[in-house]
Amino acid sequence: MKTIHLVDDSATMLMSMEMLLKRAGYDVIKSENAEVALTMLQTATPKLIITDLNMPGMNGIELIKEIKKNSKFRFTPILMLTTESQQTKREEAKRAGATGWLVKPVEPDQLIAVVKQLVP
Amino acid sequence: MINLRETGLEVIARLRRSQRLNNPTVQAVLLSVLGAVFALSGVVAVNIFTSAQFSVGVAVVCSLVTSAFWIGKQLLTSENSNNAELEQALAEANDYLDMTSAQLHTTHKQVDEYAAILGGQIDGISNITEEASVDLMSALYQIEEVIHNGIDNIEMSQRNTASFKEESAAEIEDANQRLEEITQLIHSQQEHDKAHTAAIQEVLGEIDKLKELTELVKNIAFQTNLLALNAAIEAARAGDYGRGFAVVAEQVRTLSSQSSEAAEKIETGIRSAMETAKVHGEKLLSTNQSQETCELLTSFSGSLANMTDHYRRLEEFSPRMLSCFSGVAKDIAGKVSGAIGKIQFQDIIRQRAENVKLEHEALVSLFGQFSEYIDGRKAFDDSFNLSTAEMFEKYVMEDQRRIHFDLANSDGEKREVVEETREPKIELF
Repeated sequence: MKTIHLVDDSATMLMSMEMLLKRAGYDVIKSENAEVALTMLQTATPKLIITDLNMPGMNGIELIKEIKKNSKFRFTPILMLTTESQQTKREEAKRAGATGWLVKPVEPDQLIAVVKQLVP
Repeated sequence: MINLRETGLEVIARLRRSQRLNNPTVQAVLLSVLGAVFALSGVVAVNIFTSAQFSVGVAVVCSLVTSAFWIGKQLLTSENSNNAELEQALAEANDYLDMTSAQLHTTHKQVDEYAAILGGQIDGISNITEEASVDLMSALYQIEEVIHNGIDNIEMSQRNTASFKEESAAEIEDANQRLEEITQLIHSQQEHDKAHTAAIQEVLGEIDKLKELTELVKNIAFQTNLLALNAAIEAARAGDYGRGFAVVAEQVRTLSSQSSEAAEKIETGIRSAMETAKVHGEKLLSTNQSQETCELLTSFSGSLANMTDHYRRLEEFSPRMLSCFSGVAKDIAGKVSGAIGKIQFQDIIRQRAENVKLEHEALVSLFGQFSEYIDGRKAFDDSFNLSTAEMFEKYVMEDQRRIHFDLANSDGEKREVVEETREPKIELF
């Protein structure tokens, strides 16, 4: 099963992304912050991780760094889905190991197109 | 760093120290002492040098010195007056600053409370909109679920309809063929019935003819009986010679009687047979409704043909209707997905509201700093600064950045630069 792990402190974003991705045929697991995500990733092996940047506690870039410490996720694509658009933040995320950057609000079709590109 | 409060207090203390020198009594005593010292010095000098010229000169010098002291006294009195005014002004300014500082403290406290209320309201708005968004999405999810179930059902119906169409087409064809066969059978049966009716009529006619034959037999028997009677009479006349003939006549008479009885029985039998034949024939004719049945079946066949035609039209219309409904359902499902996508704006608004809250807190903090500066009579330095450039950098959303830029720069040239250098919304590294 093609599982996608969503990490966002916004219940709205988690629910809307879950609906769009499930409709596209993906299985979805959700975490409301980075700490919960790291705990869940100890047992789960998603095909793709989509995380927010600004979250209470650990932010998205720190989460990516933690995830990439685990060799299991060396090749797992990670997308940043955030309201931020600064180039400096993008570069920082890229250095941390992010695969791509999506600025909210993202059109459902565009989201699914990017996800299908990474998880065919 | 210059402490304005300390500086002001120092100035006031110096003025107070100089005020003692400006006291008129002190000044008069000092001038008297100085004049006496100069006069005594002049007398001593005259006595030492015993020269009248020096005495006049000393007197002039003493007079000039006394005048100088007088002018100095006047200047000091004027300066004293100015210092008093300055002291009063400084005291008033200090009082005003004390009041201002107190008011600033009060206002800062109120603004801080207001900021807390505003922050709570912003959090409340975020929570309410999030709950509403979740409810809305649940409703949209259910709608989408219903629509997709509808689409699935439509597709299944289309498949079933196609299968049923194939099956029903064969069934209808078979039914039509059977109906045709039945119609032909009824027509054939009708012909047979007509033949049977004619045959029955013929049999009845033949039976009627048998009646005539029995009448003939009965007539012959009657004639034979008469003949036998006449023969018996003639045999009696012939006496012994006619005795044998009388026997024959008797036998003929007996035969005639038997013939008559037989004719009666035959007639009875024929009558019975005719009645039975008539009853069954008429019954058969009366129950022969093949024509009506045929007409009914023909009508039924026509109705069935019409029904088949209507059904075929329905078959043609049904896929179009299902296709149309399927298209509408897919369109609605697409719009629902779009609406779900648009709900992301709740998260954007939440973050924007949080930014407003943070910037408002920064303003309140700046207000507090301002109050502290006034309270401590401190000179404003670089640390007292709300960096709008830093605020601009902290903005997380492109449109907010744009609004900030628009407010900060009214000329359009720089705006174009921003437009050109804007980062893409989707970027794969």
